[in-house]
Amino acid sequence: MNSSNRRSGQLHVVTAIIVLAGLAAIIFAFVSNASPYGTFADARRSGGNSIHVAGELLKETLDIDARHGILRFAMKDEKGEQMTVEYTGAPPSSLSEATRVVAIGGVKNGVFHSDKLLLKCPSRYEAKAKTVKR
Amino acid sequence: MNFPGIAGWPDAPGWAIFVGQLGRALVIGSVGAYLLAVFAWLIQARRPSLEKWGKIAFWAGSLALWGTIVCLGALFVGEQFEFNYVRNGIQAGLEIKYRIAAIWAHQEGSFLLWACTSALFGVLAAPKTGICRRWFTIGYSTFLASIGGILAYETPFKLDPLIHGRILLPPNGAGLTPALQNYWVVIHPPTIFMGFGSLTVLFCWALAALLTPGARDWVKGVRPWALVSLAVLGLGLCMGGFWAYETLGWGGFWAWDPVENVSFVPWMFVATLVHGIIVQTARGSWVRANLLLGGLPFLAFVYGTFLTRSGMYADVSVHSFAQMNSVALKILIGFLGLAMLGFLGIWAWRSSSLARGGPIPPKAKGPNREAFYRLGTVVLAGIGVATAIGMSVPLIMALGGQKAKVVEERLYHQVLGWFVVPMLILMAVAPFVSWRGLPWRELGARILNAFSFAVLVAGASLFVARSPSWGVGLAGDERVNFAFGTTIPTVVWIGILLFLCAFTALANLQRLAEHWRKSKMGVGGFVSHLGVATVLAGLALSRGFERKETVVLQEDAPAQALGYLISYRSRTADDMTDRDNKVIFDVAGPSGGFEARPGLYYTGVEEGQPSPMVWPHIERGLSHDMYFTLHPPQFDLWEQPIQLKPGQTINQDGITATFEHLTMKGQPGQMGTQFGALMKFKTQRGAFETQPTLEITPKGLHPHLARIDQDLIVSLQAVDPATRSATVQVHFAKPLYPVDLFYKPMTILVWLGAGILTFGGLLTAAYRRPARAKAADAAKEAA
Repeated sequence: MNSSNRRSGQLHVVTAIIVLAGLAAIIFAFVSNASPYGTFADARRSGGNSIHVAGELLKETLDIDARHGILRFAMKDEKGEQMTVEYTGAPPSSLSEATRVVAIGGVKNGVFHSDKLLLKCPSRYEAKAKTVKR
Repeated sequence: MNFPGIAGWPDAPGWAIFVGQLGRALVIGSVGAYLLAVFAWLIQARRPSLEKWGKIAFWAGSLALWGTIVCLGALFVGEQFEFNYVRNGIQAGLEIKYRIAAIWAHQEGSFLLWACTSALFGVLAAPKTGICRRWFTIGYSTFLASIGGILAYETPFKLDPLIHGRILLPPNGAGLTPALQNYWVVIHPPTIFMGFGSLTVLFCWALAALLTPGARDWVKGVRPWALVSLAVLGLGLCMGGFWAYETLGWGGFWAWDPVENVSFVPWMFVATLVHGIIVQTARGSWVRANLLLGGLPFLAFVYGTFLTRSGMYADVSVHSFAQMNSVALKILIGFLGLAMLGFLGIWAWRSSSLARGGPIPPKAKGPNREAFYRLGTVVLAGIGVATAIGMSVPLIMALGGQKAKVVEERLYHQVLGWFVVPMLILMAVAPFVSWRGLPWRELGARILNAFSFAVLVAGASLFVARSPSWGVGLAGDERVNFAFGTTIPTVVWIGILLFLCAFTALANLQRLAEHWRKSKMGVGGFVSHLGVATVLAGLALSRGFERKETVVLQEDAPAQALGYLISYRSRTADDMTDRDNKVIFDVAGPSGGFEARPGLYYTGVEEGQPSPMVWPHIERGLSHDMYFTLHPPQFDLWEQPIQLKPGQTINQDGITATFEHLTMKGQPGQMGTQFGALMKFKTQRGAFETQPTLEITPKGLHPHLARIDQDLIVSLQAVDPATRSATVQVHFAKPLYPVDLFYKPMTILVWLGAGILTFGGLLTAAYRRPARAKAADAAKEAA
């Protein structure tokens, strides 16, 4: 093997190492900083404020304070735990149709405070669900 | 199935049943034709006469696919609700443009559209592939046969035998979701699917070049197709952003949603390929890399399609995805696995032989264009790969047996920022560098003008934007997160981005002016870069300097937001189910005002489940947009009716209510008899006594509202004679209108940049047609 070929081979190895290191860094950056999905118990434990909790919206508990932009409802997570969710923002459309909700936020004083809701409506239709942000 | 009123439904018309059967047969026919094309081209090497049959079969398969979409369109236009897909897609009386658009509003139709656009590009490109045609057609036909297979299992022509095998025509369908009834649903999906269809050409051409000896020059033929793909897919992406901006009401163009990323990742890989092709054409190098890059956009799109259709993203996307039929999903996974492993395997097998024997380009000295392109392609591919990783996080977590996680918009910005900054620098500097290389000092002198002007433009823009008279005034304490917990002030970050965009735009404008004298058609690349810089500047400014305020107003109670006084005026329709209804607000500002006309109407009224639909109003201007989002009006202070026993007092939502006792005028059971609930309220305005009633009418019980004070009214919903209790609900006397008002500076740049980008791409594609390119090369040689 001449020196040119050897140099070329070494260059390929270095390039491969750099590419793999770059990929690993990107995967680590995304996975370690992505917002987790969990239950109310997970949200209580982590103390974070960007936990995604998916669950059933209990419609009979819906309480809208439109003047102050606050929406309260009880939600049952996947483990069956029920907690009051307090959403700050304008009341989303399709709320009356929504059956499944993903609330994004964190637990404080026994209430799940959220500033973003993802509503899933029963599909007569099959289209965009609503994302609501404060 | 159980439908009310089914006995009165007529039999489905014979023509529709025939068209449905024809559509089904055409899908199966297309699979057969494409398999025949595969077979004919496979053995064509031994029997050249079969080449003709291979071509005919490929055309026949494509005609069958187009016939299928025509059949489906006929069923939609004819409102043939006996077909499941039509019934779930539209309602009777829908405008014809939406009936046609409903073809691709659901899963089966979007697959059909993908197949049709792919087939269109296939028949157009196949004759241009030269010696690659055999393997090109084999790959292409295999793909289209797979999609045909999916459509055969997940057919849009499924009928329901409703009574004893009879096919009846229901009078109505579930309807096209109101959120989709917008002109963008008519033009955006066909445009972006044209882009997706074009990716198949790049993939199959690259595959064919790998399998065809002596096909190193495939890039010359594929170049205009790659450019068309880049331009059309880019246009489709921009249209998707405009659609979101105009309808979703959150004031943004792009949210890094999985469905957006499925289009964005292939687009970045096509951009990488286009730059790789330039190097191969000019220098003869990058042969292996370009073959890989030819296949990646299509593979990335099929992978993204699998992710979004697998049901894995049910909770992490703003889009609802129907889960695929399991057999259809298996076909898609099978095709994805075959294409990915097959393509990458063949590429790995052939790359060592492709590496040998190519021309060795002369070495360049100093900074040179090839080195800049190399860096540029790494950065472009890096953006694509990083986005693909971001959208794969739910899959990565699932494979690792971990709980699901989702990557949010801010995290994409944090990670991709590391690629966007070098990308803009390279886009600004690379046009000044030659293939032979030049000293750094000379390069510095060349870029000095654009650099200096960019500093001036960015500084002046920030100065203007920060001026309170422009209403932007970003809070000084807002910061942007970077890696390792570091942050910088948002205004500094926006300033850096603005400078880089200005630098890129000015540098490419300068090169465009210099190049214009030599070749007017050859400036497409500079135009495209100008478009990218303009779009990015628009996105950075309109999002970075965005201001927003949320207020609640009533008919006689205006509210102030961002220095504007917002007053309710009227609405355009009495019927609140009229989808053209607009609520009119007067928005008065210090330097003029405007009339905001957001849309508001209700669906589901007949079913007793009214659901509001709202559309934002956008007041467009040269310097900024005022984005007016109306949220659903609120009518009820008490969200639910409350049952009260005589003498019971409750405190609810800031008022105290006491139910005294029931009253009655008339005889029980007689028309005109009124039941009343004598009630006392304590509100912020004082103490009040009132009596809502419920009257027996021929149409049932009719509530008469009673006023509490000037803000509130109460309705009696039901009475219980046994317990003498009353069910009441308190409402607002006039509805509350929650409004978000956004100030979005320089959004015009996003529109302008998208247009420039598309024009540049198409201009380059036209310039790089092989015939023209040959003529240009000949002219160069003669010179």
